[in-house]
Amino acid sequence: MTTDPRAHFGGPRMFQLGAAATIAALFWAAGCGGPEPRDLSSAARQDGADVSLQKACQLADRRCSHCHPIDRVLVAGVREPADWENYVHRMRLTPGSGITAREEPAIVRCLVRHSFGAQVRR
Amino acid sequence: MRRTAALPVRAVALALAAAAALAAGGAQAQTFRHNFAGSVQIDYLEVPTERIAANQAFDGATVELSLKLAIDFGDRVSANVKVCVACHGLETGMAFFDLRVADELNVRVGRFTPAFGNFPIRHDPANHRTSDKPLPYDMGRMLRLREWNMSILPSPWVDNGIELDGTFFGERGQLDYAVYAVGGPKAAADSVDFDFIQSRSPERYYLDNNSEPSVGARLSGTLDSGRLSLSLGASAMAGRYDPERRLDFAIAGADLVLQLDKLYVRAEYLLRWTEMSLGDDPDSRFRYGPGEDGEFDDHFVKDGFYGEVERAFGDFELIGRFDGLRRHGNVLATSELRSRSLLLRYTAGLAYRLPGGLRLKTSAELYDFSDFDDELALHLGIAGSF
Repeated sequence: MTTDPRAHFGGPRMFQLGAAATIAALFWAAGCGGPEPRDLSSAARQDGADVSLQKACQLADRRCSHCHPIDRVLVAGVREPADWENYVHRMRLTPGSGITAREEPAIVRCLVRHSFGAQVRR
Repeated sequence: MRRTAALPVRAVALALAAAAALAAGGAQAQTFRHNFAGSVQIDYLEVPTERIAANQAFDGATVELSLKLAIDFGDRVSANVKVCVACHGLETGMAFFDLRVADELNVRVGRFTPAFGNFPIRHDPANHRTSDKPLPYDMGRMLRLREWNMSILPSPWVDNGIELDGTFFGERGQLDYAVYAVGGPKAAADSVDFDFIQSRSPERYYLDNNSEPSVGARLSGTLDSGRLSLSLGASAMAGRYDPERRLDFAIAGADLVLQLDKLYVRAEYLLRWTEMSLGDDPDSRFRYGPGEDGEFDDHFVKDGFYGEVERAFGDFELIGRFDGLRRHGNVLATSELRSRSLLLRYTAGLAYRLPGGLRLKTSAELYDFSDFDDELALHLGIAGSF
């Protein structure tokens, strides 16, 4: 227990350790490649989707994971393609979603393909 | 001077009527769509540095469940209802209508989490990678929670009221705003801090305790350049929290989110200024005496921050977090804090994605207290959504 809190505020040991660890983690994480996360774009690549769909799925990964892990999308209980339109529209209107009206159809296209396969066309 | 709530009430009523009329125009001849979603987290907190940690934390196993139903009545009107079950029992986390006139103007009325900061958007346990929340938003999972009276703004902060919000989309980003009036935090008369239990106690009813709303606003912007996106935000809330409407509070916050491919860097800072009731006998009530001017300080300042880095590698996700709380100001004679107290916490976390949308969460946290012995806390949990 520190007797003088002001000394504690300036107590450099733990602060420096924490800051150094955070910075090290940041640089390490930014610089490392490592295995690809399991997400919509990697699934699209593995399915042999065309370049345009792969880009749509990259966009979906980026936008969806802004607020929640992509898992929430992968396990969402959609019953029909139109459900995704509804879902994505609602998410677009969430503050900070970053999803523009122009991006909405591309994200829906990726999600429909992921949930219902290549046969379904929206 | 006595404040009156008549003006905001009139403005709110007008805004509501206008939005309802505009929203109703687009709601005709539409089919109602609904969506059901939920999440569960089961977490075990072990404090190996304490023989019995229950007297300073909610250790052991805790379960958090949320169930949410969203219904769209056409393109412009929607309703959301969410119930949560956690340490505090069954609570209504959401029960509101959205009346959307356009992307740039939405009116939200009911019971909801008013827009403040960035973390509350991700407050659901299935939406963030650690088992607990950053210290400025902690709701009952931090060590020494009673001594610190929890965080600055426990998340999710749920309240009754009205919010006007909207988004302006641009070529390379967006600007979000929100302004709101809600019941506000509560406490008994003659208090020295918020009483978070009162804010969710059915015995007190879910009502404003002083007939005057607390008001707040948020402004945030996001710039996107393909691989990189940067979000900056600022939030504020102010009002009075006691039944006599004498004790002021004000909360301000700033937040940053940087996304670079699969890497996330998030940081927030929150500060709360809270007026304290000095009571009839401050000499015996408070630990510290008056200042050089002979007067007792009638307020304290509590601020806090977090910075976290998150990166996914295959099915693993690594999280590094550094957060803290600080309190400046007089304390009750019975308090174990001092006039200047600090808590720093260092968290290393690893999450593993299991099949079926489940996630195994592990983390180790080192608590560095200025007023208590340092502690180690270990979390092992599983979270999932459906």
